[in-house]
Amino acid sequence: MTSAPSLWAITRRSLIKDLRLEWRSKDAINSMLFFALLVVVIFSFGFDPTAEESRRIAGGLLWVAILFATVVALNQTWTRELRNQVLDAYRLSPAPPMALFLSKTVGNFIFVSILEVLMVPLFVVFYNLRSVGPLWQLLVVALLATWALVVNGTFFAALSIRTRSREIMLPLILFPISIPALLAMVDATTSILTGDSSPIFWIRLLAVYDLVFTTLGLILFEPVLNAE
Amino acid sequence: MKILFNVLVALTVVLLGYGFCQAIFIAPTEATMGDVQRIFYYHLPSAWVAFLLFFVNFLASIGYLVRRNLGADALALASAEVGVSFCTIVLLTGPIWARPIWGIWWTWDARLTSTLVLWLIYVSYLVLRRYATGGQVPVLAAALGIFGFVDVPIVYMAIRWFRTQHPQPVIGGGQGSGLDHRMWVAVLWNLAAFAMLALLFVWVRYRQALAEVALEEAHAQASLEAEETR
Amino acid sequence: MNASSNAYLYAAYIVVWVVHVLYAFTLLSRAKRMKREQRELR
Repeated sequence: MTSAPSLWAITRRSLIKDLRLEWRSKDAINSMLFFALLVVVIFSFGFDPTAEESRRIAGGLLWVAILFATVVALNQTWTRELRNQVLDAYRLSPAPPMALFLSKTVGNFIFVSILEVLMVPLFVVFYNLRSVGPLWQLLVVALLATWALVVNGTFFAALSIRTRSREIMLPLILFPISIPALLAMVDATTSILTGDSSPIFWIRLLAVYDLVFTTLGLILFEPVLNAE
Repeated sequence: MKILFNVLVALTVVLLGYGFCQAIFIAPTEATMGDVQRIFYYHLPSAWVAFLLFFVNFLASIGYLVRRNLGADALALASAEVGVSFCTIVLLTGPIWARPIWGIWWTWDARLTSTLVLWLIYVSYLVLRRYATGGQVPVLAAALGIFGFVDVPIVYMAIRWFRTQHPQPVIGGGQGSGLDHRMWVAVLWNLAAFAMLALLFVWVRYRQALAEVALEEAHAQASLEAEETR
Repeated sequence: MNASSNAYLYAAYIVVWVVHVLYAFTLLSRAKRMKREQRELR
């Protein structure tokens, strides 16, 4: 008689299943990557700054671009779940909804990180960016910021699948709530790039935001999942 | 109930009238800004009332998730709607006040910006309620209501820090600006008046929300019966 | 301040009352609509 699997085990299992599904349906990844590339290029056409200016605005442009790419990616993952009726399977299984939420969020986190790994070097090239501040700080900001976008994005993608005009509903609900995180990630990136000020407050704010909303998401996911 | 309601309506009208007198005639004219400053007596109480209403929405949302009773959901909807209405007033009167004083409509001032974000969050709440389908809209909305309110202190901290980094003129006086005692009196009278008005609006909207649910059920019942008699 | 800035004062107060009246109006028209529906159901 085996013991009931732990939360981590379930989370890991569904995460691996998700990643395998993603890998098999490579079209989703490829079209997302191309979309991300397009966003960067189009933004570059919009602005043609000097080196000094570019350091000041790149942070904002980069995170807005990533935000849009994230929304498109999030809409996709839930559409696929709906199509394959995976949600019903999860509701019937004894697995805790927290595991589903965690695995979805981590899966989306990985997915968006892949997009960032593509978009950031492109931004650096197009804007001839050179950071004044240390790169490891930028990495910390990127990790916290990506989680901030993805944790609420995953939760609200689940909310908005039951709405009409679903694709517009997700950003509509997600953006206002994400404003403080967006402000933090943009300002932190800018202050590191320009070296003008310390990003410490913003990094702390992002950490608090991540903690608060991950907790809320874990607690509230069950009633949301069980909604018809 | 109806008698109580009518009494409250009368009381509200009186309070609103007296608040108006306080604001326009009784309160002293502000030294630097002049009579335009009297907008403050409508601007600030509206902000407090809006915030209070969003707090009520937060409590009602939690209440609904815990108990799943329709009353909590109706209260959540009503308080969000009236809250957005008052919040809109704050966002309109702020710039109207700023324009003659600083010559600009908007300054990304910390408090006004936080109010804008608050407004956006609760408008998205109302949009979700209107466009989501299915019987579990109240659950989804409750989750959003909780997320939204928890976000409020984070929004405020973020924007305050942002403004410390990038200072701009402040609407409504900075941290240290004191108010003449008679001005506080005017603020409080109008606060009472607008709180009463909000209470009346919420009461009516709450009853209507409950009635809407009953009406939908009656419709469903009627079409069911029509099917059966066929 | 001069008299012209009082125009802003009037504008602000009018805006406040317009918003409240508009909201009251939405409440009234919803009440009317629901009464009509209730009558039709009978």
